[in-house]
Amino acid sequence: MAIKKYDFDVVVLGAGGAGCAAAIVAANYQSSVALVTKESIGSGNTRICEAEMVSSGIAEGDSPKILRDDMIKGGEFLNNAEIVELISTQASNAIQFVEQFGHFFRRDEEGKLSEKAANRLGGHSFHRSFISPGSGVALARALRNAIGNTKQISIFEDTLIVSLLKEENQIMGALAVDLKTSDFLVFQSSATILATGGCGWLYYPQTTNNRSATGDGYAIAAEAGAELIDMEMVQFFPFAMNHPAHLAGVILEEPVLAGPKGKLINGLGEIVADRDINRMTRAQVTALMAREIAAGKTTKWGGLKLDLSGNLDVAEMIRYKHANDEKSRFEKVRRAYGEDAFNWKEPWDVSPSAHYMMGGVRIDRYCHTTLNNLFAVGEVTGGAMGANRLGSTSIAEIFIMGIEAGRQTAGSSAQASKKIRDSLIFEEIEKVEHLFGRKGRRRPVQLKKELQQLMREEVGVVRDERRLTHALSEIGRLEDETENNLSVSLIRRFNTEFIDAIELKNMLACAKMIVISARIRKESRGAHLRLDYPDKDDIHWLKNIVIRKEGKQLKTSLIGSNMELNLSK
Amino acid sequence: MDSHPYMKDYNVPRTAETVLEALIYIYDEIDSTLLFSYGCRYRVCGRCTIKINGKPSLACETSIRDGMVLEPLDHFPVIRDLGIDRSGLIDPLRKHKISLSLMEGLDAAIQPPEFFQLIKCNECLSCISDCPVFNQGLEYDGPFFGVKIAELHYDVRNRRKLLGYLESYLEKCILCKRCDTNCPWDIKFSEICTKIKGELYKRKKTSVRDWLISHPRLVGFLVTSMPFQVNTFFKKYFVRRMMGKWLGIEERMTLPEYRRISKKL
Repeated sequence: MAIKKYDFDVVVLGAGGAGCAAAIVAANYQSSVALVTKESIGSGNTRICEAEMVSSGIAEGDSPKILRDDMIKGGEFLNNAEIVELISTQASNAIQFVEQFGHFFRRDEEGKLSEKAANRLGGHSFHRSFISPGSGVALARALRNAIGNTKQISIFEDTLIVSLLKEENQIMGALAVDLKTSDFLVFQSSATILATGGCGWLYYPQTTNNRSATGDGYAIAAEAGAELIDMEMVQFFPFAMNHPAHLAGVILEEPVLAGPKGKLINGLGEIVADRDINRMTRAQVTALMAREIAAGKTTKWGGLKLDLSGNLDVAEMIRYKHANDEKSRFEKVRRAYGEDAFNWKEPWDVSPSAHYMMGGVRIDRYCHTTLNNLFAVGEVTGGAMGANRLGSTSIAEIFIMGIEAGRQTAGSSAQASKKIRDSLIFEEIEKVEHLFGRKGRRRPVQLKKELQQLMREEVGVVRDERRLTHALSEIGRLEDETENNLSVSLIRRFNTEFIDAIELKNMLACAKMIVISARIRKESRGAHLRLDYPDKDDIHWLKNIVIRKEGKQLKTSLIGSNMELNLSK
Repeated sequence: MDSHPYMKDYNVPRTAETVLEALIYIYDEIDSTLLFSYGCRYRVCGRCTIKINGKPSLACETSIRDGMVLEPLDHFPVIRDLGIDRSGLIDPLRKHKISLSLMEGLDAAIQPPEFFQLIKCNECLSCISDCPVFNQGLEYDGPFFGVKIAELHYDVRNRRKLLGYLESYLEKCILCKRCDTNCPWDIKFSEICTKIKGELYKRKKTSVRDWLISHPRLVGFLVTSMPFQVNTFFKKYFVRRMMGKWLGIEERMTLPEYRRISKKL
């Protein structure tokens, strides 16, 4: 296996929306940028989302301040105020940023980006979320065109990041594997930008996420000693499918789908909610459903029924249905639930599905992590969304913060004289090289499945002390098996078991941080719901939980939330 | 790359409904070396495309049947098994300069229906896999990039004029419509081609050749009213040279022999 070394001014890890934006902007300031991804440019969760993007206020009476307040209320006051401020004021810039590369947001009848062309999602006070007729794929394509046509960006696809390279408290770059050849690639840079996305795959199949969302970034940042924050805040999207097996976990739509007259009915036929579900945030709807699920009052598929028939005489909802049918958005419903369900005449079976990680690598408003020369952008970061994210804000966040991270690299100077020590490179390679052809008894994909089942059952929508404690000990057992008993094939050309092994390690690291944080927070807030502490406790828990690896231990600390409770009128 | 392709049989339980489920089952339980791709599991991302019984299809939405034959897509380097190398898609992006040049000061943008059809492309690559002109040494990058250039052409925000560029690109399309048949999003590339060619011909004078092709009844009447003379004429070498040079009708091609049409059989 060869070892290839590369020198770049900036290395961007992850090529979804955040990574591509950071790379494009960094290329304005620096002469050589590497964009590294284990899939292709424009993959990951950005590619498969609906790509609805919030703007800073186009409606009469709306303003960035109100958006900011909505996000903070939605985040239940755990948000990082400075980052929310940045996002809420810059959101409209994000719209222009992606449109210049070819993406298109739906206009109103006069061809303008007005309030009439925007949706009002749950938790938002105004119509301000623009719709992408081409969804996330169109966004991904526009970004790929931009990247492909930017000379300074060198593209590394099918390249799996294995670890960050740290010397004397500085991140010097990253170690990766070229999956097509199993060669090791050493990226040395004066600025490393982490943009690896979320960890929904921990809950497969009960997730809306792409197969690549295995939490790689959280794990390698934690391993390098960075601080992570709010790791217990995993957003479960309320309306996702739950059968048949190949569609379980697949996303349906925001609470907006329920319209003003939609009804949520539990497995016993009792009405759980019957009006204005469309105004609720994701966390609020999930919490409603979680109560019924925890009490076992579910359909035979483990979910609740969403009755949309009441909206058949609501003109706005009929228009909404037509717009979605044009996009073939709900063909999966026709396929799985039947023609009547597709036409809203029969209720839809819905279950919450792991969707977005509010927590992550701790950053400030300049995308600096707590490690020198390491930046982070997008879902891999924590703090912006607090305890719960509002719809259409993540798509804005990845571009606003991506642009910011790219700008910040302008300050980095190429440290040509400081090469990464060969001994450090060999140390890091040794940690993973032995995985090739490892002769144990448990395949990584099998351990992944065990971990996923554990997370679904014990660290899911509702948590409690007993199950969290059990989960922690099981994670310990799985870590042990991973360390000592893995079986990995010896193929050189695209070794999928090697990928599984690395992802398994990363998923275990994430799972551990989620469980530890979830155990510490003894209250229910936003996406974090505890059966044994069902109420919100503002007196003790207006705080964020920070995790950092020190040596072999994970140390936790609490920091006071920097939110002001007095919001602007 | 794969120099020794081979076929392998697998048995999968009937609980698997889709091809992707079957592949995941095989990887998880039977063959730890099987390579295949997927992303979203529900027809959005376009990563799971393979040839299923010869036809490029999305594995995640194709129902599994007994005896199905699964192969990697054509026209791409095969890494191994069903996995292909997609990294070659970046170069044509650069070559054809596929990027939007935004018009300054544009306030309103009402896109034509063709634009909305074209942006549905999720890059599954079914079209390239089946394109008979791709990789035949004619420097044709397939319907895939045609769709990308056409999207820019129809985008009202685009400053660049692409009609001429599209003309030279689309000339190589033989309108076999295999790409249309395969596209999971019903992007009728052949229709787009025809529309673009229509737009072009509005602007230029029709060439003699295209006039001839678009008046088959008249031409047919002429050649079958004097078949002997016509056949002799078209066998003359210099006539064919002139037709090749002036009309663009390939001189190496054998023209059909015409005869008078009689009314009785």
